[in-house]
Amino acid sequence: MSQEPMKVTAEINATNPSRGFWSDAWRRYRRRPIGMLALGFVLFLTIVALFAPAIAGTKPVICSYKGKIYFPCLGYFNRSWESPIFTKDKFRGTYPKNLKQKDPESWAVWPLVFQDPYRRVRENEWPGRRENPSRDKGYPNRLNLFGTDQYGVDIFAKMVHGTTIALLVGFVSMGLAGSIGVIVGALGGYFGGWVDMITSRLTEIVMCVPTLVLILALIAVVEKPTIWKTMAIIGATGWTGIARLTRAEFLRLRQTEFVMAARATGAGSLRIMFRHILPNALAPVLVPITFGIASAILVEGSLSFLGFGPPPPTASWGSVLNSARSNLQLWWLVVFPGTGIFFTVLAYNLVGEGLQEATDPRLREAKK
Amino acid sequence: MAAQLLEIKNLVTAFHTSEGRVPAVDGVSLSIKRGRTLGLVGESGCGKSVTAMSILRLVSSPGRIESGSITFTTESESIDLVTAAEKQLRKVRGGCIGMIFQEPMTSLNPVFTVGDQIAEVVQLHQKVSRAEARSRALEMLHLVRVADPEQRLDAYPHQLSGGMRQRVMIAIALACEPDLIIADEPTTALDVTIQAQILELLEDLRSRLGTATLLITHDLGVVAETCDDVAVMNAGRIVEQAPAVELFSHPLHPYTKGLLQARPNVDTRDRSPLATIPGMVPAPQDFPSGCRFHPRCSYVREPRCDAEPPTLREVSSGHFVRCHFAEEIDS
Repeated sequence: MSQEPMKVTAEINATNPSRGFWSDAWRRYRRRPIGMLALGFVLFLTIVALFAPAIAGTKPVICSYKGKIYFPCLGYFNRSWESPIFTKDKFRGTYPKNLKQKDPESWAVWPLVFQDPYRRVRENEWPGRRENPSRDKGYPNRLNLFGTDQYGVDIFAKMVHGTTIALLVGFVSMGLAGSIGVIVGALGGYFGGWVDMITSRLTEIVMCVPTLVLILALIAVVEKPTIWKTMAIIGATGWTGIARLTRAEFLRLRQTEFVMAARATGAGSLRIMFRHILPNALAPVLVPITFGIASAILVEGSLSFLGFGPPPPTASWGSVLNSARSNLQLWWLVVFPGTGIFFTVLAYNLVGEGLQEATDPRLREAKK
Repeated sequence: MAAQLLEIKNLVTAFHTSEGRVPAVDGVSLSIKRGRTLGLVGESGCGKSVTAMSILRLVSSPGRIESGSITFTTESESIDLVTAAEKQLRKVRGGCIGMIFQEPMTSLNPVFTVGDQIAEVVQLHQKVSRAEARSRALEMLHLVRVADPEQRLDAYPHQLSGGMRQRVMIAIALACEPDLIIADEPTTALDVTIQAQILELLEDLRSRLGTATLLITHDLGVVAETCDDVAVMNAGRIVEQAPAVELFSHPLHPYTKGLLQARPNVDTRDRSPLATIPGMVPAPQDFPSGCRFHPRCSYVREPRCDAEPPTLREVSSGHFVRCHFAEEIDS
């Protein structure tokens, strides 16, 4: 029977250039204007978070000092990224005057808004500018766009720098929760039996504990509550929903023929779980992660509001709200961070919803 | 080099369900020689697929291989697949034994391109770079005669037709040049013209690469066309085994005779209804006593058929049959 190769042209169906699952989902996502708007807002926040020190700050974005180039604004991300030469030369955090005094040759590019999220801007710190108002005089004005708090610290600067925290909380804690949830769910769903028994019970136990109370208890135990520890705690308690969803997806997918086929080609359990099954389970798992980011931001906000958030030097939206708690007449302390949290959470929820509609095959069919 | 590539002895695979133990495969012995094709024939539910799954130990809980041995002999060693360690088994799966499944529609992972899926098998079993694995995948697509392989390499399974997907499955099974291919009803889900092409392809590859094949099917036409030897299975047991030519010209077991008579005749003048085998396939939990085929057998002779289970015996050279009265029926 081994004559010349037979012709199989009959089988060829004209295919478009390959389009994968995700590019297909993206095409569908783009159709919803509200989802795109929300995604745009999230992107905007990300840009604000990344460039926060260049938007609002009192440290130059870039400056030349004694013949060298420095980026003092990076000190807002991490103290040690600010060159020690400025500490040695006794700048004490005020750059405009010191730069000119100590090196007349120097030049600097300043942030868009000369305001500091951590301290009050003093009289004449910026040539010809008066001191920030404090207490109930800090109405929003031309210099303090969102007003100042009772100590005279600019709210706009706090909000801008708080964006970093808000996004970090969302991504780090949900990244952690997502990893734990996916691993626990995958193990239970794939292996079944006693492994599933253990992971399911563990999930249920964690689910039973009221999250906020657990976080408060853990914060009480943890010695110095930094923002990173808060994120870790939010992540360590928020994985239950993801674990259950992953488990359900794995239970369904491990029965499929392509998993059997993968086993027949000699793939090991780990490979099957994370290379063959997980990509198929990812879409339904991503949706709760997106919603989780929103709720993590909310949890961080409420923790800070209750005063259990990161300690004072950290600027977070929740801590601005907290300072409003004792000064309710300063309405700008409530309105701006509150609106910020509201729209951020809303945007993430809309992105999650859009993702769900773009990837869920049942919703997809209904739309057609 | 040992002549027997794969030797199954007294394989028992049972499922432990809430209704008790269900022996789907009950004492099957088979052997496949290097480079030969063995057809395993039988009706639905007789244990063909479970036998195939048992060879690679893919039977999943609640199913379990209870006894027997499956000796697989490679050039360097022989392994008992029933007792082999999982790690060793992984090397055999895909590397020494390739498997083709019945459903090409669902047997490919929907989120990877077919090129990736072929390359993955190559990378699992051979120490090659990504680029080498990819070029091997392309080579395999050429080999299984997928039209326009460069373009198909980056196609997702849903963009291919059923026949194309089955070709990709064959490419995956053959990618590591295995000694044995297990094809579990490879053409059942395809339409007739594509069936013929796939079978021809399998046959051609077999003669070119010298791969032994275990072809599981319920289509006797397929068997007659492609197999060297045939084993007929009924109710979890082999009832007759012989070279294909011998079996078709000279069937001995009443079940085999029934199967052969149940084929449609091309002769258009023949208006008689199609012959059938009476009765239903017995469920494994209530197999009849004695010969498991006796309630449906037209040659049944009480009380021996009812009481005494027949053994598989050699009636002529290379022709085995499990029937007390094979010679009498024959004459």
